[in-house]
Amino acid sequence: MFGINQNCEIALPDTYYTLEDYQSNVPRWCPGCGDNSILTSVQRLCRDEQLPPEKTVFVSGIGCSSRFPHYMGTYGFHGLHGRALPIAQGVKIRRPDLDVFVNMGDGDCCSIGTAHWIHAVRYNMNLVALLHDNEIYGLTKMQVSPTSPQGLVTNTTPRGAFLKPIKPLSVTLGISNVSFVAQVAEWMPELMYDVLKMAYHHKGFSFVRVVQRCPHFTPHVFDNILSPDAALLLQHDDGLRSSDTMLKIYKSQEEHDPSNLNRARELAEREDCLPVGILYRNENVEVYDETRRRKRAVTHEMRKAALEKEFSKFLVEPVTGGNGHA
Amino acid sequence: MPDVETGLKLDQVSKNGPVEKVVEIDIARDLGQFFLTGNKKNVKTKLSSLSGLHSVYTANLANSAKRRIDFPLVLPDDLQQHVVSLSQFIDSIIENLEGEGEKVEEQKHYLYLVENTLRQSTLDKSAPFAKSWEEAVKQVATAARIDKSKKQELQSTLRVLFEKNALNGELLAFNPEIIQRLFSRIYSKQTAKRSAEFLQKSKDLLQQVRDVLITEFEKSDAAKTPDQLGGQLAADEFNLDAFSGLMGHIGDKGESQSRVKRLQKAETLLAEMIEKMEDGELTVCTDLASGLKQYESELKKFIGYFKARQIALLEVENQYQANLHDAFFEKFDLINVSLVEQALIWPAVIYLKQDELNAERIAEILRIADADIPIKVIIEITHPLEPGRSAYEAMQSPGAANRLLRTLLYGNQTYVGQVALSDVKGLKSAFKKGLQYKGPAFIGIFVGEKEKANERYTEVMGATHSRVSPVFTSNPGKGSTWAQKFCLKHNENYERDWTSATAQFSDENGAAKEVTEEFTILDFLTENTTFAGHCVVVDQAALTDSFVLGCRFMQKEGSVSGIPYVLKYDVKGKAYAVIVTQFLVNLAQKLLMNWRGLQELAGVNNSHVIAQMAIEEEKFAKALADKEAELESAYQARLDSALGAVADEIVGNIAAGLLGQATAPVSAPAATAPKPVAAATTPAAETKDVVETKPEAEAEEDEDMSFDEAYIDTPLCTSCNECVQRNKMIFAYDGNQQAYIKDASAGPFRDIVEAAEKCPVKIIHPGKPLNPGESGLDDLVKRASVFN
Repeated sequence: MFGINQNCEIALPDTYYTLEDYQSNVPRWCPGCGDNSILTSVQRLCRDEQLPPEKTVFVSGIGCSSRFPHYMGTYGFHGLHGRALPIAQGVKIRRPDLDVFVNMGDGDCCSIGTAHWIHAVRYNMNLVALLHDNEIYGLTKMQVSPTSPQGLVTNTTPRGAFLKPIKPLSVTLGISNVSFVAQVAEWMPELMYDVLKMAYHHKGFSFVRVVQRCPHFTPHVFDNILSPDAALLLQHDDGLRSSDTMLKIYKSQEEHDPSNLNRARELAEREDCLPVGILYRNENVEVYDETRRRKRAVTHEMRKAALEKEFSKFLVEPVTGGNGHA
Repeated sequence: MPDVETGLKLDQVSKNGPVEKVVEIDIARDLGQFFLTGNKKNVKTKLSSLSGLHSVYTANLANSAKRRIDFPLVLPDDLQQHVVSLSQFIDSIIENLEGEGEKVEEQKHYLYLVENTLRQSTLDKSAPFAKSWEEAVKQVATAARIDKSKKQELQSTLRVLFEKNALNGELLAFNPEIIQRLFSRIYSKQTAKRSAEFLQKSKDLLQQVRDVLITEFEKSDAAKTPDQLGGQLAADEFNLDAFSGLMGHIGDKGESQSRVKRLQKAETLLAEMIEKMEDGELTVCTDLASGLKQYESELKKFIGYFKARQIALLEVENQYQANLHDAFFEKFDLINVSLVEQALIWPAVIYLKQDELNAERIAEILRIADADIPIKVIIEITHPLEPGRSAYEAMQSPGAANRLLRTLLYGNQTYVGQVALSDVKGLKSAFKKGLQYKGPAFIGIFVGEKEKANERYTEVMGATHSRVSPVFTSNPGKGSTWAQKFCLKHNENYERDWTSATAQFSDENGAAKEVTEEFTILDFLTENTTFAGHCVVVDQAALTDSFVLGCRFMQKEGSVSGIPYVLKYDVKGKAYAVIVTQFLVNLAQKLLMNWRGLQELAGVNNSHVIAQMAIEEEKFAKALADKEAELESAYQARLDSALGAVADEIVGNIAAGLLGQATAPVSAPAATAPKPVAAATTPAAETKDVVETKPEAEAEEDEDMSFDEAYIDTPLCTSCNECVQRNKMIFAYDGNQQAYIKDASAGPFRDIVEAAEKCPVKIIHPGKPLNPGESGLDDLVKRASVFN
């Protein structure tokens, strides 16, 4: 972090941001909520990357997870239901200098905002999108969500959900221009941190599905995958290499090359286990905000001049000389 | 034809044993004496004649007129068109030929014939292009073996082809006269390009000045005479006298008159300048003094022009204030002239011939080079060695002109170029760069001294390729370091001492033979008749081991012993050896040193770098050896100590065995062994029980620890707030926002147990209760045991 340069002057960054700099209000999520885990991992990422809070934006839709920007000490935009992605894209295209993160719930992304989701993947703009997937509508007190498992009893499906759930990873991997897809579980903080870091450094649209328990409404939905044996840890030199501790805990592992799209699709389809890690990564997909970036910088002076020009249209010039008057 | 009767037979016979008595001549001894003394009279070996023999390189060039060399040049009248070689011109016609098949092939054939004819007729003497073409076409048509009607057709086709690609101009022969033609052409082209904008502006300005003068006249008394007024009004009933008197009172006269004077002067000078610049013919001086004088006068004139221009600029804007500007223009000088304008001042161009370079002139040139006067000097070099002197004198100072150029190289503000007449591209580039450079420029051109263009071409090419007169440029405009400014790259294989050449011969029987030889300075010198006295020729087959090839001899700088010779071939490809004198070898050696000096400037075989590299390599080798020795000694020390330890252990074991079956002493040395693995691997049956019980005891200890103290697997914490919200005194977050037990005694054991139960990732281990008086402890301990 600190280095001594050759002139023997201690080179210190102007400001060093601590974890507290990224914390805002005390989270009002239920105790035990997985969102807390995601929040902590994201804050750690911000601190370790030393992202200036004034240059970082969190955009969200509606839902429990979408309270995320309130708890970050950065800029944030609590948007409309399902509309987090277009807002984030708008922010990014006008201000490419900002780091933009998107937080969406499963209802936000996979239900009302599905169209935006699909096109956001296709546009491949330089964003990090987190899908907080607890497979239930929690904020509105337990209604079925598009990712709820078949047979889940909710307030809207008292006899159990009768449709098969949508598979966010399979959908994302099927859209053209997809460039980064990963999956983690909120109860693996170390892995989540590593994946988020990779997602942040990836150039393009990074889609991370975070499987997340709702301690209040779906405490047991994930029981079958909670045990370490149920997770399939994806490892590769081009993807992630987990620490020895992780490898000891999660014994079932697979060497998976993130550039292998077909294998990634197979993994996304698996129901017997939870593949966690980087499923797909391709740095060579064109990034929309770079290819469509305007060539000319818009300076303050140019804005001012344009405004002046507009204003001058309404300027009433005093008439000089007596002849003009009737 | 050379006479081939040498000591060969005698020598061979003597080797095979003296069958019959012959007069034996030791050829090495005989020619060795010639090598040392240069005295031909005492040579007893039968010799051949040098005439008709060529080096491999020059054999190739022997008939330049039949080869597609760069000459003659086509010099178009139109300034906008480029100077091209005749071959290029013909190639461009061929490229644009319409149609295909036999007809085109035929046209091509005749075009090449025309080119050949043209080259033969104009290589020696320049001539107008159109006329020469016409003659060549006629000649080709006459010689062609075709019908008369077809001859007519051929003539008209070739004529049409020429007109289509029309180039009005001249064919320039290969002789030194073209230098000035080329130079002045490049000069006018450059000047026209550079001054175009300035000229246009000046013309506009002149027009404005004239307009101002007209209005000034209107204001003057002269314009207000009754006649003038009448001319404008043409009214009979008008009282012109009275009107004239009235008008005469209007206006400010004193100021106006001086202004008119200034403007008139400016107008004259501007007009003069424009005229001069537009049709400016370059005047080339043939000696230094007049060149400098001319430069001085031109400079004065130009300063006058620029001054007039400045005045005119102020006047047309009506901003000339006499009280301010008069004093300034009084002292107007070169420093007041802008850099753009300075670049338009004509340089003095001086054309010198090598034999005019006496000591005085050389001193003068060096002085000028130092004074930064923008003069451009072209020196015609006829001989790479000093002209008009005996060979012995020449040796003392080879090449006055070449030497002068080499000396000038070290002046940092001087453009220096040495080029060959045969290299049109190099010539053009040197002229261009030399003219563009703001300071003095010296360009030496090796032109050779042979009369016939054919022979001259061979001579020039030979001098360039053998490195006797190498091609180089130093352009300080590109930068001040040698790497930036100095260029030697236009010499073939410039990293080497000399180049090699390949020639093909066919002998009496018509068998083809290909020979590749190095073309060294010595080879070139032996081609020159000046040094004929220093050469004797023998059949190559007569040579013994005592002779070495010139290039090997020169390269090793005297470390090779033997009599040096160079190889020459006759038209049939038969090889002859030319033995040279020591004098000639020394001369060649000296020229080679010059070349190597240039190479070092160009960064080839830089001796400083080589020396430094040797030092660094030595250092590196030493460091490597030191490191090796260090590693070896360290390894040896470790090996010794390990051997010692093993010996001790063996001795201990033997001693223990001798002392009895007591178990304790046996395990003692094992326990003190540096690695615990040693203890585990001890196979002694007696110690088995001890070893087996040990891990159990350790495990028990671990368990005791884990039961006693509460702890959290902090790295696995998901920061869900569950525990922290339960009891902030017991649980807290660390720097990564992950939970740890801050103080287990700060709250009831119940809180810890309940937190462990609620923890979504089950990472809280409650341990044992610290307060034995807590209620319901039994139940809590039971519940906690699941997590411990």
